[in-house]
Amino acid sequence: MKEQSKYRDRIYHFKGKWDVPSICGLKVVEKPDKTIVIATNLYDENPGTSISRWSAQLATSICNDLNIDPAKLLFIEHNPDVHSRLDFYRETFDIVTFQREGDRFTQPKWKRITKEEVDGLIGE
Amino acid sequence: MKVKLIYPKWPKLERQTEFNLPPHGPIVFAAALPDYVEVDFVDENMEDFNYDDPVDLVFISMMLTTQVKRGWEIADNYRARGLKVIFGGISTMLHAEETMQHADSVFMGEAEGHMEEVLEDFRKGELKKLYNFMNRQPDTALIGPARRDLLKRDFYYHKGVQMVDLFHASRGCRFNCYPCAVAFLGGRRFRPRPFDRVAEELATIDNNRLFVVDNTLAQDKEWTKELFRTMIPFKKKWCSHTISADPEVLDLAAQAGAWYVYQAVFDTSDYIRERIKMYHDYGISVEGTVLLGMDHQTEDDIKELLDFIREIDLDLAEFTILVPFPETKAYDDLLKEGRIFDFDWNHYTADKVVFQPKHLTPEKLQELYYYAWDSFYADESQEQKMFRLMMKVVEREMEDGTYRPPRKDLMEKSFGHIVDR
Repeated sequence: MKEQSKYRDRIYHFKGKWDVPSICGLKVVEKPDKTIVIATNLYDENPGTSISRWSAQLATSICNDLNIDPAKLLFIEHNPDVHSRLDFYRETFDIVTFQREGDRFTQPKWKRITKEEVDGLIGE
Repeated sequence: MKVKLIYPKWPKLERQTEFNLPPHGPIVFAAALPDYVEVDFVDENMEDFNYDDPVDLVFISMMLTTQVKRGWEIADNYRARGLKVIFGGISTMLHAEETMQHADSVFMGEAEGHMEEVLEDFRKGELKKLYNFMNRQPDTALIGPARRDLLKRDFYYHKGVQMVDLFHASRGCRFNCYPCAVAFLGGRRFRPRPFDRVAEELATIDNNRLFVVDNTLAQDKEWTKELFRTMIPFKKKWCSHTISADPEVLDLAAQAGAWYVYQAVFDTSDYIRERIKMYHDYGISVEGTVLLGMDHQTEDDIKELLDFIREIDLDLAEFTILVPFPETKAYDDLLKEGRIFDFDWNHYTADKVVFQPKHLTPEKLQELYYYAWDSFYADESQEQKMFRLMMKVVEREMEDGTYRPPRKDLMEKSFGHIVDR
């Protein structure tokens, strides 16, 4: 988990569920028609809420903090491979779509995509 | 101030021999109440209660997801009578938003050091809907000893044999296992209690047999060794979750009275086989805990696992079906994939399939669950295996002079009910 990842440029701090201090990895890629945000679950490094559990609130918070136009947001959830003996922690990527209620996101829905599709989106 | 503290009933695991242990969460909570509070504790698994008993305030303490709907029902009844109801406990924390609809207050976090504030608000008629202490975990020196004086002790006997008392020496867990919510509930930081407080509590427990309910005894070897050194003089015999597979730790565990451990058996590896052998080498018995329905398991995998379990000389085994409890990665993953088809919390008993397994139909997984129990106990019943386990501890107690014979006055009763002999 400590290794550098091309899907993570910085650590983002947020208030998780019940205000518990929480962190995730963050990469923001600006494209002409959209802003791609990749949020990475940090598992052992994260003392608080996982991004899956808090994705709508997290996406709202990231847009507010980074001045991202919510209409242009493409939010990708990244669960990295933690090289566990058990296979629940294999690497996955999901595009998360939301309903918009005023200035916040609600009702997340996840759609699994491949690493190659992510690389294609961010132009790697 | 007189309060009623209620622990709602729940259905027991299908196929497992029924037993009832004295509750732990509510009596740890009760120890955090100020001295002026008079507590009437009801374990609803053991006894009924009367809604019209005169009380000033009702606390409902819930540990399991399968308690929450019953807890809400109790609260609705009390609130209809004009009484205030405060919820707490770990399944309250997992189901807080829903619980708020049935509560005057929901308490999030650990109670020590915070209850005076809540009761002061109650006295002023200013109870808050939510007391969120998730970020203000108490100093562990403030914990306990648990109020075991509140337990109606005679309920927790089976044919004269006293059930184990629950006890904890630490909170929090640095691990974050797939089906477990402890990281959310108790935090990711291992928080041991001071050893003098541990010893103080052990000295108060009028029971030779304990269940050390710490999340795991494999978080910090040096601490674990010191814990066992603290426990040795008390000559208790105890079961626990996993202990570090380290010769020095296991030797001290055996000296401290380790009776049996719960060990997750999640694959058919030599790692598991050797671990179980290691416990046995130190005279510690093993109850395997086996979770069915993980994404990597096909029908053949489960049958292979069950064959393996019969080979590795487990003393007991407990089989459960994966349950996606809120605040776990299992819940996150299955929710994301739209695979949870049953959100009736009464079904979250760990003996029912509430999600779509990856390689099986729900019906096949349910069938394999029954097959697991039936095949493991085909040659020797649960009662026979439990009797053998019991004899091991009796032998050790006789050796060190701590054995207490079964209570003659309760020989005809099992958990408060008359039994046929």
